[in-house]
Amino acid sequence: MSGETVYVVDQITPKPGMGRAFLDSYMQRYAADAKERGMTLDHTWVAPPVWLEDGSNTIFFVWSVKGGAKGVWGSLIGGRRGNALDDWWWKDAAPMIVARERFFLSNPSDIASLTNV
Amino acid sequence: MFKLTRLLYFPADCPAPERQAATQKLRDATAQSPMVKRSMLEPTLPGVLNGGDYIWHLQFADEAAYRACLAQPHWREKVNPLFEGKTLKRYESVAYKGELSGERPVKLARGVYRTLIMTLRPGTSSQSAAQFEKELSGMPKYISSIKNWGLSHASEASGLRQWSLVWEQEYENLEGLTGPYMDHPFHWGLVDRWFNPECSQYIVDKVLCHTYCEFKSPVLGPDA
Repeated sequence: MSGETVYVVDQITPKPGMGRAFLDSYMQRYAADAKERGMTLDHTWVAPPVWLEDGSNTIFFVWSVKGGAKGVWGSLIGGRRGNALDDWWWKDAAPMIVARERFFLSNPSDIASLTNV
Repeated sequence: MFKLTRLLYFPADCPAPERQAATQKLRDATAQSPMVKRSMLEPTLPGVLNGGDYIWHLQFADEAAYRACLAQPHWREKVNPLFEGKTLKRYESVAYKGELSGERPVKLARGVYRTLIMTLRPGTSSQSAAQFEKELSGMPKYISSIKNWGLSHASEASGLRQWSLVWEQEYENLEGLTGPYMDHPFHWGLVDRWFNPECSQYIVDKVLCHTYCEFKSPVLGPDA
């Protein structure tokens, strides 16, 4: 029950021309902290694969957390309460973002065990 | 049904006899109030967050009965001074009409009552608030350890915040709350996004009251 990997995907659309600046900020200000909490950054994808100057890129950050629910609470949610990180999302990063969404995902084969709580 | 919930915080150095005397006053006042249909005054369990030392919960047939209760002479003389003096360090209070609710076909004579008292961040859109409440009240469909539940809007509130929303549940035992409720992906993968500053859905003020206690007679469910 506790061995599942949960994936966390941040889908971010920075403001036009700000893709690279947002990526740098995310990696320095958010990713470093998240890794310390036990999250693993598996992929960073940029669409389209060119830094747009007049339009918006979309950036996908694919994280993984081991340990099912306990892993999510322990590394992602339980450890997140720092005001500095919240300020980054809502004060520093927000002006760089058009839209963002976070998804929590699993392999379909893990749904049965994840929901068997 | 109209409800009043107060979370009582005693000073850390308050002697046990003083706490006992204060809670006994509340029990006596409640017992002398025929308009109180159900009542509970129980110490909170370890692990609460802004949960107080005791949960005091009263239920009335309607708001008029609640008002009548507060207007009783013995209430004004015995109960109000407790909340106006120095017996308590502070308290959180919320009064609300019972709204959305649900029950499973199980009658709990004893168990664990949990309430989450919260407010939404300024500027939250009505659409976001409605979607949040829809998802929150959807939890019992997926999380079977929630036996009875209620989601209500506060009509009166005081304390650290002007509380606006009350999310109550009953469990057979504490494990139902700390286990299935917390661990189900409907919680951490969907509902928690409204509480999580890292998510764009974040609308629930971080200052909230997450508290629970054992109950010895039904609070939300049918009479056992």
